[in-house]
Amino acid sequence: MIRKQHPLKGPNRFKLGVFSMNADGGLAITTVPERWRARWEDNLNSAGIADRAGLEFLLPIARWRGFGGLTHVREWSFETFTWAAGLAVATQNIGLFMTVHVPLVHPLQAAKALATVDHISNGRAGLNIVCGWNPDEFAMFGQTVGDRTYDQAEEWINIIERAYQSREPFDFAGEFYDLKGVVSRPPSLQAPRPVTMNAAFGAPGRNYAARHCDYLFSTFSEIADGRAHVVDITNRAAEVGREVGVYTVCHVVCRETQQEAEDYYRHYALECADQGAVDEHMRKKKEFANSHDAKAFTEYRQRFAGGAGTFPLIGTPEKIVDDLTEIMDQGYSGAALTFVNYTYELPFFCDRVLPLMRQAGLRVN
Amino acid sequence: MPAAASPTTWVHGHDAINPRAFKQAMRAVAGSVAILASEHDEIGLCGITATAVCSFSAEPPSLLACVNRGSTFASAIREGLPFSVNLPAGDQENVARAFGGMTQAKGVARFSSGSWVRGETGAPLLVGARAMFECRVAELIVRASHMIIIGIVLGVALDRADRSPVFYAHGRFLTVGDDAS
Repeated sequence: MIRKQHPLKGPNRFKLGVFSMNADGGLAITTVPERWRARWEDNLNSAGIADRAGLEFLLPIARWRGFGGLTHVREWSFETFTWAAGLAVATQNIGLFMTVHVPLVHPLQAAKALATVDHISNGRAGLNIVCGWNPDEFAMFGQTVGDRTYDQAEEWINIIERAYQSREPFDFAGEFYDLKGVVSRPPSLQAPRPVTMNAAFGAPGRNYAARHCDYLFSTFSEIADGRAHVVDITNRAAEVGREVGVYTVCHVVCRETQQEAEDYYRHYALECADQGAVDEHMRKKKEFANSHDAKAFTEYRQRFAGGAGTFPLIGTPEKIVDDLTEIMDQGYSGAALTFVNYTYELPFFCDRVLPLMRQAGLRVN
Repeated sequence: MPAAASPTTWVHGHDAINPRAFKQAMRAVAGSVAILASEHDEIGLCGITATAVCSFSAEPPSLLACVNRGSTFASAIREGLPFSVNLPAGDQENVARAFGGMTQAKGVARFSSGSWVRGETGAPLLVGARAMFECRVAELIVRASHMIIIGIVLGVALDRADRSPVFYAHGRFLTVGDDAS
């Protein structure tokens, strides 16, 4: 078996992935009829397009319930270990993240599932470590969102790494986990473990990323604000002798003309927004998630309907490459992208934007 | 697993030269760079960049490597433990630097340089290296500041043997050819 380097360690200066295709609506909160349904066929088709185009990763969202409204947006979503396992067989080269809520999944269950996907995919697995913020989702599990979840996450990842490195059974005596005679074979193919990421905004989560993650995903309201996140995590990581690559998330409308792109953005994210669900999503994010600055909620309602408050890439292929170049110049190593309908929109994006990115020196393939 | 052999007393010849002069002269030796890596149950992943690596015998296939006893790698290595010898390609000089202690990365953080996978024996292998040897420690010979590791070769992979090698001389890494970028 030929081993390949993980796609996120490949040669492109600016890496690209696709976010949230496992969930209804993707990241959009809209009622347009072509909105993303996230059926398995949809996932299979879009994953195939992204894989063949040479994009680096697929990143799923972990949602256990939706945000209501007319569309019950995000209520339909595929569980991410099993989703990644299925796509591992259906794809050749693309990296496959799994998004896992630390308090809801036992570390040994996670270790085994993650290793399984890493073997099926020949070393393409990745782990998105989420501590969780949505109290309604935790209530479904009979839990509340704890205030020391990153302390728990510390033990959680240590258990996974120890389970992979240790051939002999070991005991683990922690505050959150007290485990006897732990063994978990096979270990992941990737050593020490599959690549890891989180999307933390606050200090405890950023410090956690500095110690345990290879990549941090961060959003910003304006591209120029993005550098602060890069500086922040780079400094935190340097204190513990590590490096963390910084990625962002963007929602995309790419069309032949600027007018077409802006018209469609207005159509799906303003005129046809699922207003009830946007209200619910913004209310919860504002109250519990600590994921956006205050300005984002007041000024960017369209961005919440368009892509859950991420940065919009709206326009011609040339405009989008200009924006991505500017993002890269802030110190970002890549972006996870969302579309209203991934299957309809990815082919145009890949055909038109990727060659321009090569010309601009952002990618070599 | 048996413990490492206990160090025996190493007596300098009375005419041995000043070690500094020796090190200075040895800097002139242009050595092919290798990255040794292993995984220990408690210590976890560990690795080290070394130039003192060579073929030992062809029957059975074996090689030897000399590493400083003060390194984490040396403290982890035991007879019977799987380990790998990876010959980095020109575009993996950064990996050689990390494992040579020339970056701020310590311990397992070094493995975020390059892409590493566990091989058949469990030893970590550097994906995209020019050659990878998967070995098991047959014997450890501890002398003075260093140990000699004799490894039986259980597997080889020639991933990108066409790539240019990385050398080390006069305190610098050197790559022959033009694929170092």
